[in-house]
Amino acid sequence: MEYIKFTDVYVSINGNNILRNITFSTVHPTFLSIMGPNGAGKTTLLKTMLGLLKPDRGKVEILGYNPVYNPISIRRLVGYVPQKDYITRDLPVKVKDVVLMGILINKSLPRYPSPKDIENALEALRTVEMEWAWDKRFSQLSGGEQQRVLIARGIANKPKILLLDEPFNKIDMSTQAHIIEFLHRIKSRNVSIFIVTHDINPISAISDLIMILNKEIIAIGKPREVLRKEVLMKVYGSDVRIFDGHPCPIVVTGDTHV
Amino acid sequence: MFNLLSPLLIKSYISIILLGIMSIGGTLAFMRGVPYLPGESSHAALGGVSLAILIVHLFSIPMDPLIWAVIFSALSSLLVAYAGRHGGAEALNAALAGAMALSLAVYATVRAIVPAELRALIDTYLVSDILFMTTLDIMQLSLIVLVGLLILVAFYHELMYICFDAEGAEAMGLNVKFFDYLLFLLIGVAGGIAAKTVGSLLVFALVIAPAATAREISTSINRFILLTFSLTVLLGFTGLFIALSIDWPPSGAIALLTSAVYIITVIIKNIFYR
Repeated sequence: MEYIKFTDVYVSINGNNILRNITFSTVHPTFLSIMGPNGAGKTTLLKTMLGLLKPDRGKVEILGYNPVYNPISIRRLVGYVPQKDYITRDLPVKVKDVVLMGILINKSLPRYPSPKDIENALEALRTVEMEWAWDKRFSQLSGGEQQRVLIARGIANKPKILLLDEPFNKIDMSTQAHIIEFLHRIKSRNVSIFIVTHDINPISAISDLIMILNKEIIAIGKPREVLRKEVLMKVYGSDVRIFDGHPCPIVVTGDTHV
Repeated sequence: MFNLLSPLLIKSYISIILLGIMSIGGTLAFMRGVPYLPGESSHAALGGVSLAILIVHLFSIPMDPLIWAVIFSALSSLLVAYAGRHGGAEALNAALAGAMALSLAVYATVRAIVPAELRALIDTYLVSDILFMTTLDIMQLSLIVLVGLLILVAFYHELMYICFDAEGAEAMGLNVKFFDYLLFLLIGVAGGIAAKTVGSLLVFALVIAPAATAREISTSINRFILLTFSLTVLLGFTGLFIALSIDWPPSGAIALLTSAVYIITVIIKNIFYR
């Protein structure tokens, strides 16, 4: 059985300990949502999975590969959707350029897209219902459409794991619902999805597992097991309210993402 | 009427085409969000040439000013990149201003020390003209431009990727730090050799203005680069022939044209395409 496993992982950045004693294991495919306040180490966890950060100690296994020692295999296995805020949006880049970036960068010189590359890029855009935007300028799209294109880029290489960092940031609720539908579609193709978010409500219902992170794992389990006041109070203090909802509780925290 | 195939004009044609390729440095500067960098680098080149000429004057050691121009523009550009990577946009802008101020201070000091003939040589990096280019200059610049162009073609996708999304590029395994420095190096060298071609004062008009115009009307990065090159060459030839017809310095005429085209483009875009 394939799995994603962290064993006693500690990660520091510039001498500051960001993650400590991270131990968990999930089967593949899974939909894991990672929630926590600002500075909890959510993005650091994703970067550790990508092999961009080397743990001070502990072991990470991604479908049998150690990200630090098998970076090429990890790049083939893992797609990444960064926070949209970090994208330079005023560049005259076309949607096709954005989606093909992820494919062409792994090819050797000269990096011309083959018909198969173009078909893969189009298929990725079809998955997020953005095929019509192929020749459009990225900056002309709405925030939600840009996010969908970035997801298409993340899956264009047909990864087995997709990591998303705050994909719902500054996205309206209707677009959130669309993105959730696409993620569900992607998972049904045997793709594990790890999603970092400060707002768990949009995705709690489709998450197999939810992790509450605050430098260390406060809780990990099925949504109803984790989304409980006594668990969330450990991270957010008394500034957390839980409302009964179906299929999952609704969580309101005082946390704002900056 | 002037002879279109005179050696002087043929050298000017080649210089304009080289300038067109250098102006791609302006495109890269816009892509990376440092549009002033070619201008700063060209002033750093001025400082480098001044130092080289001071050494020639004091120690009689033969030194090629162009090599020093390129070294200094490249170093100042890398310094700006370093500041930006470690201190963010504010530190980057401070480094840009600081490097430019230092270069101009070196220029002003050396200019006051050296004799008139050396002063004139330094001043060719402040205000120059494509008509002043010698065959040796053109050969040296062609070699540098060719190397820069080959690097750009080889790493086009990497450079585009890091400009658009450095974090995503890093996640794909790109050495973002290396390619960022490489990008700054290319822009810096373009600014430095442009100082040799047209003088550092005109680099803003001849390297940055065409890129700024192309940016207003481009729909893709490929078009952005091609348009910058085409505009520089087209306006370069137009400016050259206008200048020769009315007996003006060609670089000044070309700079006026590129600036005017930029202003007109912005006005038209704001009126009709807002």
